[in-house]
Amino acid sequence: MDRPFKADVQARGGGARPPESGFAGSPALPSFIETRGVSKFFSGVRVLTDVSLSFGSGEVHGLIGENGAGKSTLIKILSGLYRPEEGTLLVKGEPVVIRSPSHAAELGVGVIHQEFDLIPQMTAAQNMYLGREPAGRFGVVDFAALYADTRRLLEEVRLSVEPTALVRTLSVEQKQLLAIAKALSWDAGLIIMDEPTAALNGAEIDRLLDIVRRLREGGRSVIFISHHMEEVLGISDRVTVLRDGRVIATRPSSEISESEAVRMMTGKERIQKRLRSGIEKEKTKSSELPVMSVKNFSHPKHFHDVSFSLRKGEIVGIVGLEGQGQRQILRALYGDMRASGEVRIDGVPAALKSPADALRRGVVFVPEERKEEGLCLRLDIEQNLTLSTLKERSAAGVLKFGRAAREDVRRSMSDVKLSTDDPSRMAYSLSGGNQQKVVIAKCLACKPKVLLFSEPTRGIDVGAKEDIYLLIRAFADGGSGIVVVSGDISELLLVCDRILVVHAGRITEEFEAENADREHIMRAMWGLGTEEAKEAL
Amino acid sequence: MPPRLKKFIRNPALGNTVPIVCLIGVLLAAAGTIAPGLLARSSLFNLLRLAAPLGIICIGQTAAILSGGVDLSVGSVAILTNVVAANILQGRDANNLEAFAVCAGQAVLIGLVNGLAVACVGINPFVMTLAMSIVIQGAALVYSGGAAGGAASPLVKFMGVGTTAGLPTAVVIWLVLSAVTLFVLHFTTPGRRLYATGANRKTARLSGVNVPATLVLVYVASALSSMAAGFVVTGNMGVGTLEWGFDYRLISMAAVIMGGTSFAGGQGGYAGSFVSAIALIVLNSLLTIVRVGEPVRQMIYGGVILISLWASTRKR
Repeated sequence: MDRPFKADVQARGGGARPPESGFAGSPALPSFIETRGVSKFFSGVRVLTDVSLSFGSGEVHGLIGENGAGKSTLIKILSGLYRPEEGTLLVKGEPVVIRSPSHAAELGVGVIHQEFDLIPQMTAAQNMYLGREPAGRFGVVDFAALYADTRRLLEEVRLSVEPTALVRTLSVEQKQLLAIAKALSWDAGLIIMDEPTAALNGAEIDRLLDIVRRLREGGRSVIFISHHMEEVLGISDRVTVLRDGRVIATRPSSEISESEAVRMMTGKERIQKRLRSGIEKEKTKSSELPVMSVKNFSHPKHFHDVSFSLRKGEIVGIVGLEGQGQRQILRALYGDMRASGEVRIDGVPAALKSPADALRRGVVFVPEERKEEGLCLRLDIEQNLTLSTLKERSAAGVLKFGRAAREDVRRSMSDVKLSTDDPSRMAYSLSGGNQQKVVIAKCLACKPKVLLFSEPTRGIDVGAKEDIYLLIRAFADGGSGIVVVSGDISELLLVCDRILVVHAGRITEEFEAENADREHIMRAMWGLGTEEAKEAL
Repeated sequence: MPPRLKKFIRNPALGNTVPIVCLIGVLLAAAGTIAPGLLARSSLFNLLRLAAPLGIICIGQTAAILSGGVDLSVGSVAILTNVVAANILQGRDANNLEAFAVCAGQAVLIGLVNGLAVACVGINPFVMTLAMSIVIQGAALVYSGGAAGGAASPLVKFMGVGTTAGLPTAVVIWLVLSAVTLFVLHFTTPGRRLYATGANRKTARLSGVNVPATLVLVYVASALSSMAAGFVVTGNMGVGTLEWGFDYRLISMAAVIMGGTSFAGGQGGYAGSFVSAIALIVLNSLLTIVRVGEPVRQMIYGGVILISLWASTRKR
């Protein structure tokens, strides 16, 4: 299909556009969409600052940055989910306010999310034209036209399935291509691809990148986001690095090296302080028997051959990009997911088949989703806090009440520095930080040997974060072994003794936190080789 | 209002208990002005006696809804109990033990099947218990051959119509079971696990709660409470019958929701269900004495149920 965007843009706004306004390396392509001085705030906190970018028609634009750098916020602004507080958006040179995702679609913005937004029970054609089926007389769907259009678009993305194929029967790659075809069906001039290769294998990735090139040749603008640096630099014409909600640089991909990109993403700021262990390092090292040791721990889908050991009083961090299997490792260690391999606790082999098993062995888990998995929001603090230790708090199934039991709960509450001392406060009425403290208090009540934390401070304000770091350090000093999974490198450098890097389900590198280098860790997270790392230094 | 009283009234385990007690007062006052005889001790006791089977069924229904599910087989279990018990008893106390054993056995079996299907197979509790109730109704028909027979034994009659310590025995049974229920819900570990399971199943599991076991226990307890209600009704009616005045399935659900137990699970308690059972029976009697015809009565009745459901959904 011929898309008249190039001509259109030039005719309407392209010629009248101001001269190139200082975007480094901006090619002489007419921009399809442009942001000027865009800023976004969430409850008073600036998450995007003065972002000015232009995405040209016929350009593939790579977007890279750490978790939380502002990539997804920017995309949500472009796709009409958020409205920026400051700045303007220009589509084909004309200022617009994107009111909603459907308005964005009308303007020609197509977003391909990681979950694709397809309805599995419907056919490919139904999905593509959902809610805007070509209608014949009396509003009856014109199936001939529907299938013909669908077939043409599927051909365009080289997807050889029938328009009548049910989406749930398609492979991940096919769904991906269908999602792209869907965006083409409304003639999207800009296609945003969020981690399009995350679920694909080598050959599939090549085919997808091919399609991306074809889209570019067809004069469309593509925003390409990926955690694989090679891919981003390979496919895109220009790359923009975001950090802390700001544009650090926009460069032609050919003029930027991988290590340079990593350096730009991490920035130069150093960790100001580290939480030091209260006990002497020598002492912890001399405790010969690890509290937990994991050998050849594997899951068919999520992680492979994971081995590490955890000493008493030690905090081990596991870091990786989104979806590299690090969270699943924790869940499997907690018995929430089956995995093969050997886990020993205090030297004794432990088959952890369920969370209840793990709890009996002295392993506790603080999940990343505290509202969905950590707490019962409709119950009060006391009910939440005592949930894992009901047996210890009861005799013959009858709960102990009276002064001693009440004091015990109060003590647990003050141990984690909860801001309230009323155990009958409902969990939903607490702030995020205090909710997390209740979850931690629940786990502590089990007197654990091993604590597993998944993203312990996500979505928590700075003050409460610090409290939680101090708590984690205090448990370690109390003799527990601790594993923290987090996407936040600074956090891990702050609290951990050792940091393991997980990439594609494997532990690829190990760092002593004391002399670890942020950039180094980042490179390992992105799966960049060590030789290159040495070279870069 | 003193803060302690305020805190007591706001206790989430009480649900709507306080407003419903007020509602009962209003309904009784209205009934009293129309027919003063209704406020006599004997007729009040009679009302309570009528409310007892519903209240007892609500024990299981409260547990089921607290767990995040529902039990639509309650009424059928009560009917089956009535048909089977009357047939075994044949009016003789000598058959008491056998009747109790058989009815308890079938109730446990029904509860197990419901519980396992919901907890382990993952069938939606609405669908599962509805299907179960249809199966049980059929079984009751088959068992009775379409015409239920038999008669209650003196002991079972005493449960239904007798008097203990100045109160109707049915009411005494109800009060004792209610006390046990409140104790189990709020002062024991199974009670806590039930609330946690209903409030957030994932959290409960990650906190070491055996969620399937908790759910199975809930449905067994529910079937057993329906069985108890079945015996009280059998005593009341004296015979086995397939013609029941009430559809306990919906009314018990209405009473529990009206009492402030949330359909979302984990929120509320039995106190609200207890007073709601009374309120619904009082309303029913009030409508009878003002000679509202059966069809209109049902409309009003359904309206009240709808309003309370609507109000409780809006609150969340």
